[in-house]
Amino acid sequence: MKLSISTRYLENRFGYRKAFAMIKDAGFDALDYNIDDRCATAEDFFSTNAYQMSEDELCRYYTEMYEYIHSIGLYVGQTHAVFGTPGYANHPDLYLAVTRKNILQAHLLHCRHIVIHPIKTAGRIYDMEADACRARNLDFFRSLLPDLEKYDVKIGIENMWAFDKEKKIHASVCSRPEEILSLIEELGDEHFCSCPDLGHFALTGNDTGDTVGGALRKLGGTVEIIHAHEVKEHEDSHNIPYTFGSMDWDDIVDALRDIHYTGTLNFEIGPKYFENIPDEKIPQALCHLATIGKHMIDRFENTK
Amino acid sequence: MLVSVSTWSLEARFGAKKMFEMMRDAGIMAADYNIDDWIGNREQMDARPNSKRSEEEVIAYYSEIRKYADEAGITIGQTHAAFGPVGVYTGELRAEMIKTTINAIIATSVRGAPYIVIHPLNIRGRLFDEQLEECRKLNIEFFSELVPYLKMYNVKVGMENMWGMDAQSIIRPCVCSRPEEILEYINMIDPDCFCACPDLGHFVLTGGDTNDTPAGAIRKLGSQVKLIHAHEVDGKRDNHSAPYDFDKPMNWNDIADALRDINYEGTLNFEIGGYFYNRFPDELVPEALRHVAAIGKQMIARIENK
Repeated sequence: MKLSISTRYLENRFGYRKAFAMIKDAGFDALDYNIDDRCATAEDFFSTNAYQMSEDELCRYYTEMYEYIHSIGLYVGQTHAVFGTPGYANHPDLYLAVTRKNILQAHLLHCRHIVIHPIKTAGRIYDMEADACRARNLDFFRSLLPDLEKYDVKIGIENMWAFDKEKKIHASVCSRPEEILSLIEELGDEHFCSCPDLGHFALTGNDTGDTVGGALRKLGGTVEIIHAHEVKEHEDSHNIPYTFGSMDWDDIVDALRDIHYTGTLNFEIGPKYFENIPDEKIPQALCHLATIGKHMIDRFENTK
Repeated sequence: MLVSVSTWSLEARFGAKKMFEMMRDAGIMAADYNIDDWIGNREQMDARPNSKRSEEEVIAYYSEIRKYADEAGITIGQTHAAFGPVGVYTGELRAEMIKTTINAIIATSVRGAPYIVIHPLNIRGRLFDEQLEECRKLNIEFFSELVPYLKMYNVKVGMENMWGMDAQSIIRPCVCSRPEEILEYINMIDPDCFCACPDLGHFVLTGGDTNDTPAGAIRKLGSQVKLIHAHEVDGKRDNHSAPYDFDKPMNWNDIADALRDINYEGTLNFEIGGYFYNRFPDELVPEALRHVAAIGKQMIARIENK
């Protein structure tokens, strides 16, 4: 199993060349390349490479990036597309256009997997609006099929969460493994798999009764990529394992082994971990995470 | 300058021998040896062998511990004595608490450490500058009783800045929270036997009331700083965690600069406890130690101007 980390925060802070070099030096093998970030307004969409660049320009930019990644001994194990509920609610055409370009961008990075969030309709919390939400997602994902086929890219469907009126996190679209499995089954195409977000499962587990390890076991062979990170009670912290002691990482690793997982151990770590660490200590922060990851991989590969 | 960590929760979990070996393997070559922990009542007192040991027994026991440290190449830079509420020092447990403290001084000497932290006593209910005089009197009486032992065993007390909790469970200043009070105590009792042990996390917790930053406090304490307790807090609780563990870390570069400015010569001692270590399974504690060591070595490079 290879070790991977998401790139968004580090690329924004250091630029991609320096960020990827630090990731490599810390002992990671692969990248979860965040092609785009949250887009809420039209201006957000307009600022993306996907919107600003022509296909030729995209091709040049991401080919150069790919060559750099390859030259330092890394590869892109998975990518992440644009996301954001206000973005697709208010600007569905822009959202679709950018998402389609993101699939091309994943292809240019020689990556076969992209995470595209399932759409969460305005009232989707727990199982409310479940049918409408499902219909919307079937339409949305099917509309991407020509691009997925053209570029040979698979979508990882992720389990999401929603805030209630008190800003507490609760189950929402695809929070239950069964909903992901059912969507994949109805889509009925090899270009869809699951991307369990382990922290999200921890956050919604009180509502769904699913443990993180249990959810992985339910998703079984559909799991081709993951988002691993630790969360703090009611906060989607995207922090490193063992920060809060809130998740059973041994059981998670055992579950990945049980389902014969073949993807990377991908940490989707965000600013909560990195933003207060000064520049000169970021390499050590990455080494610390890499060592924890290697310990988990050791358990994955060596426990009978 | 050596990176040091307190032994607090590590010895209880791994035993002294393995703990020192783990420190060495992580590149931590000094230790702040916690001789005893909190004693708040009769039951806890009875659970502490040092409340009963003779001098010979103390020497025998801690010589064995020292052997483990020596074998691993670990220097004991400082120690920490038992601590507890003021009632333990003034009530029916007083004699045993004094004996425990004296035995800690002997143990410190046996370990070859020059410094021991013994908390200044906070008179019951003291917050801010309330009962300043009574508190001072109590501490002069308490520490003066220890002076002959400190001289006999050639050990100095590091006077630490403390905190108290108000009725709303908010941490507030109390005894020695201000650097000025630490300096006053050192000079009043015996400058030959006392020095300052600034607790950097405590200065963060009380700084909202005293206006002292950890670095500012270090500069005020100046050459009296012979040992330190470095650890991160979340601003509300005395977490004793590793640097950068929270959203708003203290300014560690400023702290390193302050230690350089005062020509500090002690160890870079992290007083990190279970809040940090307990989140890791046994097999990842060595990595947790390496992480602390790496942060410490970067700080030392800055302190030493490399």
